[in-house]
Amino acid sequence: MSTQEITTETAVEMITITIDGFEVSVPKGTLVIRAAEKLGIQIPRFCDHPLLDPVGACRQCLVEIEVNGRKFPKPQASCTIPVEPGMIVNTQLTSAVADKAQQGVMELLLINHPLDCPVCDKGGECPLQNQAMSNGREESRFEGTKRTFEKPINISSQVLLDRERCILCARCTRFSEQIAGDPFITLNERGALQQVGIYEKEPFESYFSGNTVQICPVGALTGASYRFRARPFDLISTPSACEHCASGCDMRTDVRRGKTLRRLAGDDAAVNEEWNCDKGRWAFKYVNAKDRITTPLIRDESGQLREASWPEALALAAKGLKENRSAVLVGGRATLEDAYGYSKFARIALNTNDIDFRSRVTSKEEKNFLASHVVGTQINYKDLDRADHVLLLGFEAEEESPIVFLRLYKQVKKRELKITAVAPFASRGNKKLKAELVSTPAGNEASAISKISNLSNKSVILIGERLSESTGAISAAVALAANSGAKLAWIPRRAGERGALEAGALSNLLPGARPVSDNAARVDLQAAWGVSSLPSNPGLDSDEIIKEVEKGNIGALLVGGVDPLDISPDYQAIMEKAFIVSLEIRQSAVTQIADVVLPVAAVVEKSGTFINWESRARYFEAAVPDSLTRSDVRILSMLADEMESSINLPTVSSARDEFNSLGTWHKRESFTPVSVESTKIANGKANLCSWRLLLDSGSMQDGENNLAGTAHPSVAIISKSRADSLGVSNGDQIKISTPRGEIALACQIDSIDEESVWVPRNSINSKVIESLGITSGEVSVVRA
Amino acid sequence: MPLTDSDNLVMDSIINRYPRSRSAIMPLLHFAQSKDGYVTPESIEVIAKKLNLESAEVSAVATFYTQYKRGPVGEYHVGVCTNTLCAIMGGDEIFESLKEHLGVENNGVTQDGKVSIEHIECNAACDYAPVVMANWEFYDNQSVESAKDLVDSMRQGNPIAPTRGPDKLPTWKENSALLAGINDGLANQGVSAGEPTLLGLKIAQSGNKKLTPELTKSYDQKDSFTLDGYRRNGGYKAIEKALNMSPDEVIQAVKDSGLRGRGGAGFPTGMKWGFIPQGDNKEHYFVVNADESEPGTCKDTPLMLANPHVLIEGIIIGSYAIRAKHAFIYIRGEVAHVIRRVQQAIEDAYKAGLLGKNILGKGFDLDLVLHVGAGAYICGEETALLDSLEGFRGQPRLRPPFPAIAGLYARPTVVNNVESVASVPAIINNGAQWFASLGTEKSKGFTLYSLSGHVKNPGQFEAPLGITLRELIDMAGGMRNGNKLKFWTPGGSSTPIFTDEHLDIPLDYEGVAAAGSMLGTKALQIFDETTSVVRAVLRWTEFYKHESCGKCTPCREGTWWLVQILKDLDAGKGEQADLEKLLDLCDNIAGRSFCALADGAASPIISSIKYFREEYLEHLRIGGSPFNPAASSLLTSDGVRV
Ligand SMILES: Cc1cc2nc3c(=O)[nH]c(=O)nc-3n(C[C@H](O)[C@H](O)[C@H](O)COP(=O)(O)O)c2cc1C
Ligand code: SF4
Ligand code: SF4
Ligand code: SF4
Ligand code: FES
Ligand code: FES
Repeated sequence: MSTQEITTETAVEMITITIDGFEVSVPKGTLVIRAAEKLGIQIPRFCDHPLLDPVGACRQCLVEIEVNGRKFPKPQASCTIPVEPGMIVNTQLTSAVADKAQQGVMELLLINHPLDCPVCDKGGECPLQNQAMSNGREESRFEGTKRTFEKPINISSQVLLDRERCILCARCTRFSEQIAGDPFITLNERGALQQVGIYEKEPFESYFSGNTVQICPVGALTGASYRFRARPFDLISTPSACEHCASGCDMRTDVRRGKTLRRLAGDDAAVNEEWNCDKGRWAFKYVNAKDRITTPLIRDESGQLREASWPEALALAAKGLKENRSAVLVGGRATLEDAYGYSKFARIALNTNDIDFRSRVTSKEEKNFLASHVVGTQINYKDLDRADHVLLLGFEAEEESPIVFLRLYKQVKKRELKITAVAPFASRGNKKLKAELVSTPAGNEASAISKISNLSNKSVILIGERLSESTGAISAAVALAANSGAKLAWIPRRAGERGALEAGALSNLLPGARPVSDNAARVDLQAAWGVSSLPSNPGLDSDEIIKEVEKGNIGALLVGGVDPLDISPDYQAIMEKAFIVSLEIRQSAVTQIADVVLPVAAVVEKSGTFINWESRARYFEAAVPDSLTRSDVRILSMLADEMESSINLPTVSSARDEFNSLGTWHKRESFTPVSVESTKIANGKANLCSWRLLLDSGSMQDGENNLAGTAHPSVAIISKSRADSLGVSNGDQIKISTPRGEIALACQIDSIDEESVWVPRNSINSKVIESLGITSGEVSVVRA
Repeated sequence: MPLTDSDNLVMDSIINRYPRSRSAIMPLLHFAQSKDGYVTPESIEVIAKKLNLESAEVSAVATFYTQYKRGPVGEYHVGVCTNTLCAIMGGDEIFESLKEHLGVENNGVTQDGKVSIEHIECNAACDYAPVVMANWEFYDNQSVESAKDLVDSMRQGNPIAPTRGPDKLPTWKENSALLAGINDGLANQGVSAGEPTLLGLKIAQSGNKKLTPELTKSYDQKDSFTLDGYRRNGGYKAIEKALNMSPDEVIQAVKDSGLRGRGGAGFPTGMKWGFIPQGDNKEHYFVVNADESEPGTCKDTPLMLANPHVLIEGIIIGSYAIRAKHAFIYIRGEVAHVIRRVQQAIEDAYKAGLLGKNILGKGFDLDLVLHVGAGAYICGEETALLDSLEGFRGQPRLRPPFPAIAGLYARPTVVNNVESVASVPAIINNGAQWFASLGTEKSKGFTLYSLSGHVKNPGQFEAPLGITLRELIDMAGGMRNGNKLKFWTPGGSSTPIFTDEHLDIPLDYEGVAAAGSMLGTKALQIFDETTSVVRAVLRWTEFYKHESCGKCTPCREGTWWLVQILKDLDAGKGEQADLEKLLDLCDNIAGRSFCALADGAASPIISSIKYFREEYLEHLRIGGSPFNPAASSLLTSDGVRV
């Protein structure tokens, strides 16, 4: 069926046409080329792409068309013509004219093509190569001089362009302009010299650039990392899910001999359509990092980690956890099944509710909000498609959930969807969305939100995980939703947070949205788990857990995939006091201080499920099939056995089945609003604001320098008046400091709220938590 | 481009001319050239910033148009027309000898920075062939000698004045400012029209009843292009009448007159106006196509030079009829003096209350903006024109939607040729019936025929539709030297050629179509027996290759290939089968491409093989051209005009 937007709500008018003698009924507005697909008739094409506006440029798809007995005098481009009642179409299969026209176009496309298929990355999966075989002449009659260009040029550190291979279908340029809003690559020059290119000084640094590589119908655009690495027939492809963010992209992972060579965007019309972001596409080398842990490690008498056997390591871990009051910290990157494993392990093996998946700056207000308004609810991309107004709170869509951004951008382009953002300045992404800015210094979101009055029950409020950093802001958003009838959605950054929430890896929640405080819910779960009791006192959050470790009340920690530096620069030192069992794929700040380290599988090596912000589950199989590493849940199950309090989750699928069988509890915790406290900044000081950029120093982007090369530069954003008072201009270095430390960056003057200064949270030369110890609040800014 | 405050103000005022800022890209690029001489990377960045675009978007536009230069050009930039007609009449010799004389190649600049040289395509002055342009001013009827004198005078700092232009040749930068829409006040200098432009008028004045000068009737008056001159000849009477009619009555009158578009396709003008949806609460736009670049076509350019106000009057009437409050003239950028005249006429019309708010006190508002192109034939195609006017690369748009529904800025828009619009005041003044009584049954009224090439006296002839070439050649004093007519284009190079068999077909839409070609723009390029048709066709094909916008495969790649084959054939290389290959390729290009440019590219090839297959074969037999180019040139062997 046509992927052209066709609303299913209003009854669609169906139109019947005849193609090559067969009748087919399709919705009004369907293009002939897609009506033919429905009959299994493949009309050759290059420029056509179902998600891009038709251009009719390549002319490969010519067919003969007759409407009500009147024949078009010339063959028509079937990718540009919508069906009409009484239309009769003859494709290359039944029309000699169409067949000759197609062969003619193909011959012309090839005259200037280098035909270097044997050395081309696209060879074997190239629409030009394939269609030249199926719809081209056997021999070219061209004997002249071919157009030549300098062989591939880097249009970014990640994308190469070979102009000789380009067939000028304009898919890449249309994608960049229409879908990503980043017209950094354009068609240049004219006629036979027309060519794709960038402006000489501005590389193709779009977060979505990889999609152009994927939709280029020839080998003109290639990713630097995949170039010459493999031929398609050497690869084993597995449908997978992206582990990088909560957008929830469908992906395909291509592996050769146990090594991931590339990842492509999968096709899920409801989620990522056919797109993804460059992080999801290219950040996968971390799996093969040198510091990958492959065997269990234990700390010996000398304080050094040494390799150990599984039985030895498990025994030591079990002993440590048993002998101490223990708590669980599980990062936001776990799969649903693994998170469920941690959740069940905490309750059964450790008899505690001291578990938190939020390894970031959090609040009790957020925890209460998650348990009352988020867990067990559903909201969809479709709701964005239908919204009359979308409010962004503590959320930078392009940086923090790129596919949400693309969806919003699509609606902005299509129907001028109104978007409002509460932030200290309009980021590039929000400018593209033409978002109305409610300019707000960090910490003052609550009062800004409470003043918003133009939402309706068709509006959607998107709450980013950072909103929890501003006291009272979530409460204000909850009130706004209640008053306006707008839908609320929470969009965490990490891919595993929503799943972990549903799995109950939180101190106030048991799996399946069961409040810890709800006796009936607990009893229900006891029955399901076959245990006689479950801990009933509310557990501690991550911050409280660390405090109790510091006080010596908690003596052991089970930690899975957490970086303490995401929360506080002090935490690593404090955690060191506890006995630590760390489940990790690579050496980290936690393995440095751990007593037992148990290696676990990376996403491509295991099966599992990610639940995205919509609450949509995407299940995936291992892409690297015979990896020796195991998913966290299997190891937790062994550990629990070792502790003689079995959680009985020997496989990923048993964990998933068990979780699914629990269902969703019907009652939620109630929400207690937190009163507003506005942040006051002393005279002469500035108010820090920061968020993470999509491409930054995150450890899962390690090992991919080509990708890192397209990251946006680290700059500090200040207002014109601050620049004037500091006596700096664009590009001058400034220093941002707290008593704890400082960050020095080049400044960029923008129309940011006067009080604020913005820096990227985790980029080169800008490690906010590590250097400043805070993510928002008072800082000094001086000229460097 | 380091910007002064006043530069900033100028740029802002350029942006303010347009309903949407992006439309200002082209004039801003011209303005950048007036500062730096060419488009520097800095100016691309400045413009991008001003317009809130990515630099890539601006450079994509800048590289599409040939008038935007990537590096320095001379203080005087000389363009030698080497499109078919000028080339054959002597342009090739002029270009070759100038290169040698200056010691530079195509696009080269002399070391003193004074002169640069480039071969250019048809500059809408074919009746003045061979033509040389300097800083886009006309130097008509050139010879090798006169062209050398011209460049010498430039290097001495005292350039010879243009033939039809200001008293003194402005510099490249000065004229770039003019192209950016900055009036230099020189519009009143220079002649109204040159001799060829006046030829038909003079013949009519001497009593020839076959000609009906209406648009051209005042061309011979010294001030025909001024507001006073136009008024003296009865100008701006039609708008008084029109504004007292209802818009629908005006449309009806134009329908009744039978006026058909003069831009090439001959679509009924009144019907086009009637397609504009009414009461839709959207802005409507009226756009005049003054891009005149079809080889051979040279009627709108002299009209705007000698009589710009008749166009403005037509625009006011047309805009009123379709309820447009905003009109644009998209003029090609290579005709500086015409731009000056039209710009001045617009300013004078504003001052006289004929444009702007509440025109003639009738409550009708209209703003008219002159938009200057930058060298791209395809921008004459109406949808490419609209994209160009919106500040994009001038590539044709998908249709439907047609401009009448979604044209400029996706609003209902009429695009009409200069001559079509200029014909409207006379229709309103004299009545639809008067107009309809002229011409033939389905091709009504009078029109401009442009005769160029190997006739004794080339020039413009305004006559009722249906006149024959035999009659026109007769008025032009016959073929030069009494030579035999060999082939001719009825309506520009995109229309299949005719031969001497076709001398008596009526030159109206139906007559020409019945004989297998198209009336097109009535650009009658005449070639006599001394001309190699293969050379002529090769040159035209090179033109289409150069002007292909690049959007679609058959045209972009096809013209690239066609040129290679034709070059071989012209050099006598190849075999008979190559002619079949050529025809087969044309079959794969024409009617398979995105727009009509490619159909035009195939026309000369298909029609020339139809009539002159033997001549192609003769080239192959003797391994070269059987023709002596000197014989078809107007220049003698020492480069002087005969
Ligand atoms: C390649 C190409 C070039 C054209 N150039 C011109 C031109 O320079 N001037 C013009 O008036 N029409 C030109 N046309 C025709 C226009 O597309 C359009 O039909 C015309 O401006 C309509 O005006 P009319 O109805 O008054 O003739 C061109 C068409 C094509 C395909
Ligand atoms: S680079 Fe690829 S996608 Fe872009 S125009 Fe060329 S062939 Fe099409
Ligand atoms: S948008 Fe998110 S889920 Fe999609 S590819 Fe990018 S990081 Fe992965
Ligand atoms: S035929 Fe195609 S390439 Fe040629 S000018 Fe038209 S759109 Fe451009
Ligand atoms: S696929 Fe239809 S024109 Fe390119
Ligand atoms: S002006 Fe030279 S060919 Fe027309």
